[in-house]
Amino acid sequence: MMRTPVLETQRRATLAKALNLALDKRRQSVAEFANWEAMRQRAHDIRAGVLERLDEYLNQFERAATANGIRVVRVATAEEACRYVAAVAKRLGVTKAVKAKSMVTEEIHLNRALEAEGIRAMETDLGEYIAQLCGQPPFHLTAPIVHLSRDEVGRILADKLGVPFTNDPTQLTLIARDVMRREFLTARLGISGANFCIAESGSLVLCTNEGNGRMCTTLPAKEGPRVHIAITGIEKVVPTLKDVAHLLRLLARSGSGMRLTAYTTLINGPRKRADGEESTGPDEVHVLLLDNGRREMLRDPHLREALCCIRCGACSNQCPVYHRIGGHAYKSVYNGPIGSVWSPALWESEQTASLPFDCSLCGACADICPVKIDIHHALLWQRKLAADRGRVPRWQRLAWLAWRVAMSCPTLYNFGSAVARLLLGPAMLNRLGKPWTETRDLPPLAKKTFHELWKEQTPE
Amino acid sequence: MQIGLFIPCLVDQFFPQAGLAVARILKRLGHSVEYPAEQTCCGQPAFNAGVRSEATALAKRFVQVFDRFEAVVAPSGSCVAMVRNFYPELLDIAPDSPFLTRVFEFSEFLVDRLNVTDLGATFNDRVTYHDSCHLLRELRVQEQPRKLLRAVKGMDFVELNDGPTCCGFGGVFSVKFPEVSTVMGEDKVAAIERTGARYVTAGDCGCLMHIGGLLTRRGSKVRTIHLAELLGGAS
Ligand code: SF4
Repeated sequence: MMRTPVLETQRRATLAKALNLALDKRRQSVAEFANWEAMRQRAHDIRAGVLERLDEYLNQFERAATANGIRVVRVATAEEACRYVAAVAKRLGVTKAVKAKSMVTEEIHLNRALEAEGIRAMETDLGEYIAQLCGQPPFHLTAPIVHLSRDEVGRILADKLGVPFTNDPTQLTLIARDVMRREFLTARLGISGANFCIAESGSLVLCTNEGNGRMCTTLPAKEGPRVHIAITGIEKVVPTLKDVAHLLRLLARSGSGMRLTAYTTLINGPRKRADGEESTGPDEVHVLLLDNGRREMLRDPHLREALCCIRCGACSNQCPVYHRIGGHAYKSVYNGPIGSVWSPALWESEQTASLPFDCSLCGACADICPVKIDIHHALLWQRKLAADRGRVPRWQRLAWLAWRVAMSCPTLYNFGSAVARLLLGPAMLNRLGKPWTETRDLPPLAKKTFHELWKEQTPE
Repeated sequence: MQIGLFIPCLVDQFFPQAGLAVARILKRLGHSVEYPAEQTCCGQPAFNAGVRSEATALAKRFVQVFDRFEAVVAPSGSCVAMVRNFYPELLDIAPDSPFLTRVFEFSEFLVDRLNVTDLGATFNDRVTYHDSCHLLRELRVQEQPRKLLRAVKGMDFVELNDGPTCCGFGGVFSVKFPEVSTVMGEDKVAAIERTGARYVTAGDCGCLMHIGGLLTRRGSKVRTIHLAELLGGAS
């Protein structure tokens, strides 16, 4: 049996402290609205409405963005997306790129692909940068190093950059800023995701907290042409700016409790000639709209809903299992409750198929989700798909069959129960139930079942 | 009212007293209570394991067994959630189909359907209540058990104030992922002990079995008791 390890106590405490703080702040900022529930419903309706007519909105976005001078490219797979970015880098003749935080670029393992082509992609979100320095994937959808303490971050920076140790957040930020500024000022290729693509105006929306998203996309380098490539999933399109404004109200509040992320950037295209040679801003903006399994999800009515996700991270903050096992245990770029819905859809494997089962089905994720995705019900559906694909071992299927036969026949059920009671003494029961009894007592079987007691009480 | 008692397997095998307490309370309120002996399982374990065809067979059976009652009542939020929330999908029936609207969890049946909150019970101790996830989030039953508990004479009722968070039972989850399940349960138990309560009550025997198993293992003085038993007094 594949057992999911629990984080060690100290790590669990560090993680819980950070996640609970985010949850507390969320509670306070959500309380500003008397109609939060209605706001969630509206957010859901906006997102679900998009998915119903996805191609229409994608086409509208493409037309508007193209008119703004953006190159819109549809990419079917991760490889295709990576190849495109590498080709642009080669054309520019650059060997480095600066990157804003983006889960989609994690999804396609862009950094690895670029590295294979001799191009270094540098993460510029502080958390993501530190994760990159340690060679670790992000621990959380929105907070890549939420599991690390300030001391640990200080030690990593001291270790990797040879700077004096400090655990003061301001000092730590200044150190990273120093490194990054140099990179920003000389980079000619900037890579980002997009939180939303606005169909009516062809604009991209980028939410960041450190301003690095802006630095990565305005590209102040003095020499040579400058290019910004945004890579995002096809599901991220939203009809209007007004819709985005609504979603923004819920996005940061749900994830971190902030009213808005510190920076909300709207990108309408490359810099215009009229802006003059001195102006910053890229000469080219490319938007890659990635499928990579999303259309499959769209076709399945039970999974389609999961595409409403705006990646706020609240479901992970709330999930009692995530709290105990942490983000790396999922062994998937997308972790936490919604990650367990997405991962088997994007990368079907024995590993990802097991994710939906590692859940107590408590439903807390669905209650906190700002776009009201029934996450735990989607997990139940993923369990069914796993069984249909033969991911539930044959012996288990047979056991379920036998169980059903017994349960379909009260005589068999009662006979089975009687025999089991006769044969299974407490010692035997304890041995059989080892995964339970290692840490918990098993109550003794009642001397008589309800069935027997009822029969005695109410003679026919 | 003609009430059919639905006794899920954990109650049948481990906690029959909870089932008897439900019957006793309903009879005392003047209803006729019947236990259809041909009942077995609602199909939830197979459903949660992804093996829906086996669950469907049992769902069909469940409807046949219980269709003749004016109301079906069970001392389990989880099993009632299975019937009300997932049978529509399994059996391709409307969520508001007449049969489904007649199936109730014990506390919601008393408060919402019968408009009863004071059962005249006495319980001289400090008690806290654990919100079972399926009761809370699938059936949205939160106030009903509290109303019933607050009416109990002599009781010092204290809130658990831990979220409410899952106790880590989760059916097969508890043995498939025992480590995760156990740490979840340990945090739950710590929260219970912080209240200073002598008893923890809940509407689901799965949670009570899990919480109880951890309590006794760590030698705690706190005991578990099903809501119906607490309200129904001794027989
Ligand atoms: S599923 Fe909902 S709660 Fe989870 S990240 Fe997506 S939007 Fe946020």
